[in-house]
Amino acid sequence: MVVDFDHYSKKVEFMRKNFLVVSDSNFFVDALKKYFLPNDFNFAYCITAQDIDLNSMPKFDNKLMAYCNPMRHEHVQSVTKQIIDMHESIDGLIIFLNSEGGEYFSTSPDQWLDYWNYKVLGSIRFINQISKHMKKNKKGKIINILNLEARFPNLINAVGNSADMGLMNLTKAMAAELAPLNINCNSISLGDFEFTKFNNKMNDIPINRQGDSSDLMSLIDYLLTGNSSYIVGENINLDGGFSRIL
Amino acid sequence: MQLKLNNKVAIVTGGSKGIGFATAKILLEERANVVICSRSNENLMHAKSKLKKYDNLLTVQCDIGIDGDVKNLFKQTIKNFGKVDILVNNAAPTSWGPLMDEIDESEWLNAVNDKLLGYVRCTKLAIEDMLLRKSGRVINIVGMGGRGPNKRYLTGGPINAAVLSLTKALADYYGKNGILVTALSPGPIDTGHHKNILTWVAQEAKISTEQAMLNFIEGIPVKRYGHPEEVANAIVFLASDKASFITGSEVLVDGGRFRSL
Repeated sequence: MVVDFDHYSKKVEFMRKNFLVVSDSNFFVDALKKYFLPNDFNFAYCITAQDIDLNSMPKFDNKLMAYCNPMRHEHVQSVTKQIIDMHESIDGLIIFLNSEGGEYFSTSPDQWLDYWNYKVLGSIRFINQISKHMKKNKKGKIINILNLEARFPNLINAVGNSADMGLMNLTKAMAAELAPLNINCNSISLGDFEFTKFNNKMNDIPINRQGDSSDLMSLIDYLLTGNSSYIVGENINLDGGFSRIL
Repeated sequence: MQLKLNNKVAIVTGGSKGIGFATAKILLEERANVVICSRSNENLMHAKSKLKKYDNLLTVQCDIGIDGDVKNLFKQTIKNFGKVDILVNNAAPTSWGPLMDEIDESEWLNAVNDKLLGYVRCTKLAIEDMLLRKSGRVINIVGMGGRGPNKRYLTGGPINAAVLSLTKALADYYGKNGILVTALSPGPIDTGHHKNILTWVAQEAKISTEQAMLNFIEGIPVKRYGHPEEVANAIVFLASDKASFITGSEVLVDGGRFRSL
């Protein structure tokens, strides 16, 4: 009998680990659920949107789903407190928020600020709360998922592109602060995927196909395991070779 | 070098001191009509007195974080000089120091509003006027934190990165209209702003500020700080006809310090 030690050790690595997923993409959440088997580890999902009622405080249901508005500090605090109370430790935080922020011409400064408040500050609010807990445990993984378009900016999505560049920068700065505490912070920039919108033409992908959810899940899987412990502050382009930039 | 800037109209935000002031001075020497603005009327008056020999200068008090102020800046510029050819977005330096959980939420929102959206407000109005002549230059002063993230520069880094992103997107869109948009990132310049940074570096490394400065200078290939005039010369070059094929680029004026591809 051939024993797949790699596979086995990874399962052991994952067992009894707890992850919080913050996303406004149902597609992404469903893909995570399909890829990662619930018996091996615990995922809790925080579904976000700007129009979630700010007055009703979020609560996890029995499927470990909560709905929250990341623009409100109290919402984020409530969700993170619940998840920390539920589990002894939070080992990973994955954030994937909508990268469509709006175009340059018609977006007013107030709308621009609202989007930053949602995406960039929302991510910061979650990272602040969860990293406090990770700092105590001296371990953790944080993954920000962004859109590769930020590296090839355009005015059609100027608001979203600039916010993603900001988050890419912030991921690297936070990584420097958190790495000495054994907390790895990285980002993934998604190219042309079935669930991303890419406003530039991507007709020159060396791998000759669009990315699918399993491409993303296997990279998340890798970044969440201990085998990636020397990857710190990286932004990994997951794009089938599209971005040939130094 | 003949830069042919006479009769051009330039707005330099944050033009009352440091790099902005040096830029305004060189533009004035090149016979451009120059508008400088600052939040502080006192700083503006001080700058005006130092530039009193030039009759082609206009000063306007303006906080680029406020819509009405920016509208007034452009209204005054058009009223006095009739057009806008060059915009140097230079205002709003972002602060150094606090770590992630020490930064107040309002500080984040103010930083976004004052720098990123301040640049957006000015750029929108400038380009509106530039489109009338299908010609113009926008030069965004960014800061190395955009390219080189730092845990002590958490509000400034992401905003500078966002300004870089916007620079490239604007350049891409408006190139066909003869409007060139560039970014310029100054390295360590002896404006006093850097002393604040060194205080943090020294504190963290448990060394004196003087030692931190020596260590820092050692990492700069030219072994010294830059002067505001050296940055200003590059800005004025980008504003001139000599830089007519440069758009969407980021120019580093840092004595060779940043050595990343």
